[in-house]
Amino acid sequence: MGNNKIKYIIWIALTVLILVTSTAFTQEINETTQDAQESPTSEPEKLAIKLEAMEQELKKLKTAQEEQRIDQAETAQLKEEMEQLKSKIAEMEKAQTMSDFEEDAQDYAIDHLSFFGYFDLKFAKSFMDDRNLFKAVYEGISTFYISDIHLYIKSEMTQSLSALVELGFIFSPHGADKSYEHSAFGTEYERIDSSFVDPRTTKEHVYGGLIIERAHLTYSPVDWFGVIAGRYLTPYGIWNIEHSPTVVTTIRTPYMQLRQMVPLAQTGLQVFGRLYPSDTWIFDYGITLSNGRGPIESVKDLDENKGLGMRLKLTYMGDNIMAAAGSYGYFGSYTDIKKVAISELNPDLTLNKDVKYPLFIDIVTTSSYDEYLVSSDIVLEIFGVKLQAEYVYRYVHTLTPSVRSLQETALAGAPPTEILYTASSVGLGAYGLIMWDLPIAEKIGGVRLAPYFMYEYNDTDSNQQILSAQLLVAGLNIKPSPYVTLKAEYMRILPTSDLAGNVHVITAQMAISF
Amino acid sequence: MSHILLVPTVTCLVLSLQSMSARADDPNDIVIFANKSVAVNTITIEKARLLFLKIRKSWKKGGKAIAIHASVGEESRNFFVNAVLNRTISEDQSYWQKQKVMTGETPPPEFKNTLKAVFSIRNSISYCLRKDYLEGVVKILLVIPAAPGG
Repeated sequence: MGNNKIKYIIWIALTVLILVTSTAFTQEINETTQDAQESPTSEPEKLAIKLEAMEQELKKLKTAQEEQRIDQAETAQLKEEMEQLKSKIAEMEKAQTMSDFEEDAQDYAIDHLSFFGYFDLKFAKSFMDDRNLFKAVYEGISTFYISDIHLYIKSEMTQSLSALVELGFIFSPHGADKSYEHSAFGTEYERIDSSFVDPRTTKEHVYGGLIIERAHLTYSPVDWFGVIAGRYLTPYGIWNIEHSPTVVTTIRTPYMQLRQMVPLAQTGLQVFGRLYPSDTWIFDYGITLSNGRGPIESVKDLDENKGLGMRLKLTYMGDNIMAAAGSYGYFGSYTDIKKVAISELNPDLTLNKDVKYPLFIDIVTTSSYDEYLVSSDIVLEIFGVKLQAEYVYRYVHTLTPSVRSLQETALAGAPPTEILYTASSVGLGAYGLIMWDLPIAEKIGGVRLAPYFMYEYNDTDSNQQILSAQLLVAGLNIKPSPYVTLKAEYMRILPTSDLAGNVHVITAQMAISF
Repeated sequence: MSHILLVPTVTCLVLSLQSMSARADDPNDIVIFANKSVAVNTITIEKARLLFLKIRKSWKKGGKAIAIHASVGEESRNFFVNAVLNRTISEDQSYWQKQKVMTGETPPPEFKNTLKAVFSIRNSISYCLRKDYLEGVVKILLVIPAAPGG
C-alpha cells in the first residue's frame, strides 16, 4: 500500500505540476505571442516605427515654428505699420510747420516804448575836526538820504529813429544852504525851505525838484553816421557816460564830475559814428555843436559863440579782455549878461518921442571867458580786473572879469571890503581806479564781490586853492543780482589848502535799477 | 624701399586726419542763422557777439541788423550767451541794465520760435539748437559745436 500511495501521490503531483506549468507556459506563450504580434520582431520594422515617431516630432516642431513665424511676421508687420505712422506724423508736423513759413519777410516793426530807471539810498557818516571848512558840506552827523530818482523814457519809432528822455527827481532844493551867517560880512544863515501847508487839509508837503538830464532824438541809419538833436550827455570820459550809481564803481563821484570841468551835458547837435577796422576793433567818433556853457545854457545861449567839441575813441574787444582809450577836446565861450532898460525922457519924465525908440533894452555883458579843454580816458578789463583812469586839462581865458562872491573873497583870504575879480586860470583833474571782480561768484550763489580803490587829484581852478584836494577811496562793490548793487566805502579828503582839514567819510549805498 | 613705405604711410596719415576731423552732427549744436535777405553768408563769433550786444547794429553789406534772442530760460539761449557772448546769463542781464542807463539801449527782442521770427523779419539773425533747425527756411551763417558732454 505504501508504495502505491507514494506512486499515487507522485503521479498526482506530477499531474498538478504539469497542469500548472502548462497553464503558465500557455499564458507566457500567449503573452509572448501577443508581444510578438505588437512589437516588431525585425529591424526594419523597428526603424520604421522610429521614423514615424521622428516624423511626428518634426511635425510638431514645424507647427510650433510656423506659429512662431506667424507671430514674428505679425510683430514685424506691426512695427512696420508703426514706423509708417510715425513717418506720416512727422511729415504732417513738418507740413504744418512749413505752412508757418509761407508769408514774405517783413521789416521789424518796433514801435516800442519803454520805461526804466534807477534810484539809490545812502547812509553816510563823516568825521573831521570841529574847526573844519568842510562842515559846509559834511555836518558830521550820520544820515540816510536818497540822491535822486532817475526815470528813462525810450521810444524806438523805427529801426533808425529813437528818442530818449532822462529825468531826475530830487528832494532838493529843499535843505540847500543859500548863505552862512558871518558877522564880518554881515550875512545871515539862510537855508532853502520849500515846504508848504496844503490849505485844504493842513498837511505839510515839501516841494522837490526836477532835473532834465537829457532829452534827444537819435537818427542813425547806418553805424558809421548818426545825428543826435536835443540835450545830450557830453560824450567824454567814462564816468559821465556811466553816471548812474548802478553802473559806476564807487559811491563817491570824482571832483572833475562834481565841478563840471567838462560840460556834463549840452544842448544842440551831435554827429556820431562807429567804424569796425576788424571784428575786434571798434573806432568811435563824435562831433558836438551846442550852446556851450552859460548861466542859462539849457534854456538859451547868451552869446553867438557856440561850443564845439570832438570825441575819438578806440576799443579792442577780445574774449577775456577789453581795452579802450579815448579823448575829447572842446572849445567854447561863457557869457553872462544883464538887461538894462533905457529910456529917453523929457524933463517932465515923459517919453521923448522925438527920439527913435525912446525905450529899449540894452544887453550888457557882465562876465565872459573862453575855455579850451582836453580830456583823455583809458579803461582795461582783463580776467575780472578793471583799471580805469581819466584826465582833464582846462584853460580859462577871462575876457570880461566878474566880481567874485563874498564867499569866494573870504576863501581867498581877502577882507570883505576888497573886491576880487575872476581871472584866467588853469584846471587839472585826474583819477585812477582799480577794481577786481573776485572769481568766487559761483561759490557764493552768484553774488559778485569786487573790492576797489581810487585815487583822485583835483585842482579845479588855479586861482582858488581851496578847491584843490586829493581823494583816497577804498570800498567793496557787492552785486547780489543784476538789478541791485550794494557798496560800502571809506573816503578820505586831503585838501591842499591850509584853510581846510582832512575829512573821513564812511558811506553805504544800495542802488536799484528797474 | 622707401617708396614702398611711402604709400601706406601717407594713406594712414590721411585716414587718421579724416577720422580726427570727421564729427557727427550733434543735435545740441548751436546753429546761427539769418533771414535770406541778409547779404552775408558767414559770420564769425566775434561779429555775432557785436551784433547781439548791439555794439554793431548794421550788416556790413547794408541794412539794419535785427538780433533776436531765444526766450529766457531756453536751453539754446543759455548755451549761446555762454559760448558766443562769453558770459553767464546773470552777467548778460547786468550788461543790459548798464547799457540802458548809459545809452538808453535796450536788449534784443525775444521770441520762443526764433526760426519763424528770423524767417519773418528782414535782416534778422538768431540761433537755435540743431535739433530744432529746419532746412530751407533761413540761411546758416555759423554752427557752434555743443560742449563735450553737454
